[in-house]
Formats: sequence, C-alpha cells, structure tokens
Amino acid sequence: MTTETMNDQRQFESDFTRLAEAGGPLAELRREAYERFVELGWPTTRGEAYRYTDCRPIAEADLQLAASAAEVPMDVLRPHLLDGVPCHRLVFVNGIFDETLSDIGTIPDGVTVMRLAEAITEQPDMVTRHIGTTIDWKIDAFDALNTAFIEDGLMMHVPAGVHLEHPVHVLHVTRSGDKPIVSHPRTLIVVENGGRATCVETCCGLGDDPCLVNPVTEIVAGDDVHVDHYRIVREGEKTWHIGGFGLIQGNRSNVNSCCMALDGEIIRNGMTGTLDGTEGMANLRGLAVVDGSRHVDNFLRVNHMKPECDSREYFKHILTDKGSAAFTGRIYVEEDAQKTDAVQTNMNLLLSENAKVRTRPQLEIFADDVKCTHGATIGRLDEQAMFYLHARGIGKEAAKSLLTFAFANEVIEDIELLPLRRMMESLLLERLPHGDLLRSMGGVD
Amino acid sequence: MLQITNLHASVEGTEILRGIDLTIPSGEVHSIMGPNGSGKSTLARVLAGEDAYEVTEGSVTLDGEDLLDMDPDVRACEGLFMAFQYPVEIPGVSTKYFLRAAVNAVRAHRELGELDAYEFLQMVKEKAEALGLDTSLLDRSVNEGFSGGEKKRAEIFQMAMLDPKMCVLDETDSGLDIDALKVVSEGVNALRDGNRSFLVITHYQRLLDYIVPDVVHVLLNGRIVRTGGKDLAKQLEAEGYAGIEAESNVANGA
Ligand SMILES: Nc1ncnc2c1ncn2[C@@H]1O[C@H](COP(=O)(O)OP(=O)(O)O)[C@@H](O)[C@H]1O
Ligand SMILES: [Mg+2]
Repeated sequence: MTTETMNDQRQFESDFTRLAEAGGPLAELRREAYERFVELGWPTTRGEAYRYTDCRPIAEADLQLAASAAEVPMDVLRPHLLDGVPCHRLVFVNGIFDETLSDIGTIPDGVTVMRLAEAITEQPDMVTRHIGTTIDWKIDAFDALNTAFIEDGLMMHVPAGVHLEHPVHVLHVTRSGDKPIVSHPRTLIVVENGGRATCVETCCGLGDDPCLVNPVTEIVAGDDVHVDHYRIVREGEKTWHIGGFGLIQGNRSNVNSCCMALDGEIIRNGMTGTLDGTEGMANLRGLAVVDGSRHVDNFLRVNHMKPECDSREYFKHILTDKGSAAFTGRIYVEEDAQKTDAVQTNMNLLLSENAKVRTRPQLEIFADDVKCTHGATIGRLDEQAMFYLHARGIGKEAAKSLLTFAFANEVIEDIELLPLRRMMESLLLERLPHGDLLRSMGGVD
Repeated sequence: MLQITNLHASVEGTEILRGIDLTIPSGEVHSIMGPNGSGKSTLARVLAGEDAYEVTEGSVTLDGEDLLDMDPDVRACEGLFMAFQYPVEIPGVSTKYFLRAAVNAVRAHRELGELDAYEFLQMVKEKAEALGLDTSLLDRSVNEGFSGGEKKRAEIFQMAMLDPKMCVLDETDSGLDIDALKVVSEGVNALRDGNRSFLVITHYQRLLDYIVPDVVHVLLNGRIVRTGGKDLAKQLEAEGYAGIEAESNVANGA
C-alpha cells in the first residue's frame, strides 16, 4: 500500500472475520467481495468513477460496524413516515433490524417482504440467484465492501402477475456515537413477469458525528413488470452516504427510480441500469439540494443491451453556499440494441457564486440506429421571470423560492404515490432558501 | 394620481426616454400612441421598475409617493399594475399558485386579511368568467403554451384580481382578434370606477374605439410630442405618424 492513499482496508479485518465465521450460503460471495475490496483499495480522485468525490476522509476514519442496537424513539421516526397510506415497514438502526419500530403488516400470499437476514436462511436459492447480479461490485470498492458485509436489509419477492398493493418502506436510521459507525444495508427486490411493486427507502441520520452509510439496492425485474423505487437521503451533518443502485429489467418492463439527496456531508448516488429485454423503459431521476459545504455526486451508467428500449435520466441540482455537485451519465448501447432511445438531462441551478458543479455525459454507442440525446445546463434564475413575479407584488425572496421550487418540482411532480410526493414537496420547501415564505403565502398547497 | 416629471431613461447607455411629462389624475384614462420603437414599452417597464432601465433624470410619483424609490414588488403592492406586452412564461409554476401568492402578497401589504382557499377560488371564478377566460388555463404553468390572445386575457384577469389603482396596459390589443378585443375592453371598462386610472399604450387606434380615453398622447423618439382628446387618435389613424414626425422634427430643429 502506498502511504499517500492513507488507507488501510484491513481496518475491517476483525469485523469481517467475525462475520465469515458465521458461514451460510453467502459466505463465498462475501469472501470474494472482501478480497476484491482489499485489492481495489479506497477509490481515489485519480480514477474515473470517483474523480469528483474525495473519499480520503472516509478512508481515514476508524469505521466500525455497530456492535449493538441503538435506541430510537418512535417520535423521532414519525416525520419520516408516509402519511395516509399503509406501508410494509422495516426499520434498521445502524444496520441492525429494529423490531419495535418496524411494522411489516400482512403480506399477500406468495409475496415475500422480509429481512434479508431471514431470507438468506429461508430462501437461500432465491437470494443467491439474484444478489450481486445488477451491479459490478468487482469494479466499485464501495459495492464490494457492501457485498462483503451483506448481513441484513430488505428482501422483496413479487411472484408473476402479482401487484403488491401497498408500498414497502424501508428506513435506515443512523445514530452516530463517539466512534464512527459504518453500515452496509442491502436491499434485493425481485419482481417476476407481470408483477408490480413500490419501494421507498429513507436513509436518515441522528447526530452529527462521522458515519459511513453504504447501502446497495438491487432490482431484478422480469418481463412486463412495473417497479417504482425511491430513495430519500437525509443523513446526519457529518455522514458520508455512498449509495449503490443496480437494476436489470426484462422485456417491456418499466422501472422508475428517483433519488432525493438532501442531507449528509457527502452523498454519492451510483446507479447502474441494464435494459436486458426489448421495449423496456428505465426512468432514473434525481434531485439534490446542495447547500452548506455539502457534496453530491450522481454517477450513472445505463446499459442498452437489447433493441427498442428507452432510458431517461433526469437529474437536477440546486446549489447554494459552497455546495458542490457532480453528474456523470454514461450511456452504453450494445451493437444489438437498435432503436434505442436514450435521453439524458442534467440541470443545475446555481444560487451562489461559490457553488461548484461538474457535469459530464459519456456515450458509448455501438449500434447505428439509435437516438441518444444529452443536455446539461448550468444557470441562474431567469431574470425576466423574476421581474414578472415582482411586477405582481411577489417580493425578491419569495420569487426566488417560487422559481427554485418550480425548477425542482419538475423532477417529482409525476410521482404517483401522493403521500410521498407531498413529503418531498414539503422537504423541498423546508430546504429552499426562504421556502417558508412560499408556504406562508399560500402559494403552494 | 400618477405624475411623471421630466423622465429620462436609458438602456445600456442609450437614452430612450428623453424627458417625459405626464399627469394622470385619478379616474382618468389616458392613451399613449406611437410608432414602433418610440419608447412606449420602455416607459411601461420603467414605471414597473425593471432593472435593465436606468432612470437618469426626473421623477415619478403615485399619489404623492416616490415610485422610483420603490422595488418593483412594492410598486405592485402600492397599486401599480403593468400588463406586459409580452407576458413571461414560467414553466413549473401553476397559474393558480402564482395568483394566490400574488393576491396574498398584495393584500398583506394593504393590511387586508389573507384569502383562504375557498374565497380565493370564488374570486377566481367570478373574474375569469367575466373575462371569458377558460379556467382550465389556471391549472397550467404561468403563460406557458398560452395563445397570444390567452396571454393578454390572462394579464387583464390578473389586473382584476390584484385590484390596482393605476393600470398600465402595454399593447394589450396586439395579437387579439376583434371578438377578443371586445371582451378584453369590456373587462377593462368594467374596472373603470371613477377612481382607478389607466394608461393604455397602443400602436393602433382600433382599441380606443372600445376603451375610450379621456386624453391621448403621442410618443415619438422618447418624447410626448402631442396631447389631445380622443379625436387625436382618429386623426393619427387617418394621417399616420409621418405628419406628426415631420412636425416634431421641425420643432426640434432636426
Ligand atoms: N432591453 C433593451 N435593450 C436594448 N435596447 C432596448 C431595450 N428595450 C428597448 N430598447 C430599445 O429602445 C427603443 C424603444 O423600444 P420600446 O420601448 O420597446 O418601443 P415601443 O414599445 O414603442 O415599440 C428601441 O430602439 C429598442 O430597440
Ligand atoms: Mg412595445
């Protein structure tokens, strides 16, 4: 190991050894992933994937798995729950399942919604068949690390033709303490042909001490499947959230995933979508409010493997203070994947002089009959629109908020799960400079 | 009462308004006519307070208060309303939300209570119907994808909602067919209550058949070169601006 990277991947050795002793059907995968992580080392800004996210603070922290459950009162959790819709709820605190806060409810016959830890023992074939198939943990150190430490999380399985009526809501609560805590929650969602499901993930933090939250979520969608997936990131002030998301989908499937990044010192949202059937649609969205000295990095790769698929990437960043954001969108189109229609959009609204943004589209196209468009904008609020609002009596701050809200709202306005959309709107208003004005004016319901 | 005295304004260093004097007493309707490029919109936008225009000389008061000293939103709250020649499209902001924000901002400034959702919708319904405005427009983003006529109607609708005391209409007639022109004019006439004043800016005399002004001014090269009764508009229609232009050039020694 070179000293300049200052990393010692072996800091996880004792935690890993303890986990390895437990054995089980994933032991082999975990060991491989662990070895791979040690080989890869912590990512550096000299590599492609983490060019814009400096992981040195993470590498230097003395991270440890939580030894025992930390107590979190229900009241603290309540603001994170969806109002007015029954959910199958699983709550993890520092990676450890919390029975009292969870409420899985009644699961329809044939459907699986359970802790991953249980699924590993009860449905080992299902888990081993799908886990790790949607992401490339061999090239991403954080995905490898998560895979090395797969222990618990959420397992969802929706059999063919079944529409799971209620959303599954999984909450990963991080309660920081005197020692930097790390957690590697894993979610595996398998939806068979013609199935339908919705999953909401909330990653929220309590406390302001350093932590690493390293979740990986995988969606395996068969043919004619519809999945809606959301992730809301509201980590603690000093938390590094390095999230992974993998998706593979079959013929005519429609998968939506939207990540709303609000809180955390570093938030990285790595997404890999693979369209592995014809006429599929992958709709990946992201919205980030990047204030303070926060850093948000959306890193996407969409693989078009089969003909006639559509993909949409629609990512917006609102930057204020000294916030910084990065967007990388790579679209890969296989030779076979004719009539691909891929649209990539990254829009950045700069509300301060000191905010920084980097955006890079990357196209690798090996088919000749394809439509791939990408657009990136970095701009400020429209002066003409501002004047128009002023001319109708709306003051500077409120006008600014209204236009900023409008900019952001385009990412979330089509979300069908109404309580979630309302929650996102209200979080947005809370976070916008002077969003309170907008609310009090009765401008937004 | 709006009082404009020796108003000079420039944009990007070029003087556009070159000494305007104009007084509009309460309850009167004045019209400004002038060829394209004479500075009509500049005057409207200077009154509304757009940043891009720099006032280099002169003063403007509204009921004795210094208008130029106020931010644009305060001017609106104080009762100035400018209907834009080219209303701005604002994607993502629903017209209804925008209007409610505007109405409540103005009401708060005037120390009137906020309208609740029900009262607001009643008011919307009433005023929209009066103007023949399709209320489904209100669920769309502000002016986005509105036809030219819909935009102009929406401006007058906003004017009715905000209850101003001084209305400046910048070429509200352009782009309207004769039926729409009648509806919009009726809407404006309905707001003539003996107290509210209007400055109706137009390029064509046609509008003034429907909104009959008390006084007509002719603006040329940033100056008012003629003032008269409503017949002046007819005369301009018959003779065009050329005659007046020649006359004013002589007067200026040009
Ligand atoms: N924002 C601006 N930037 C540059 N020139 C402008 C601007 N606004 C107006 N002008 C110029 O000022 C003159 C008057 O324009 P305007 O007030 O729009 O005239 P009108 O409304 O009478 O047609 C024109 O020569 C126009 O080109
Ligand atoms: Mg004009």
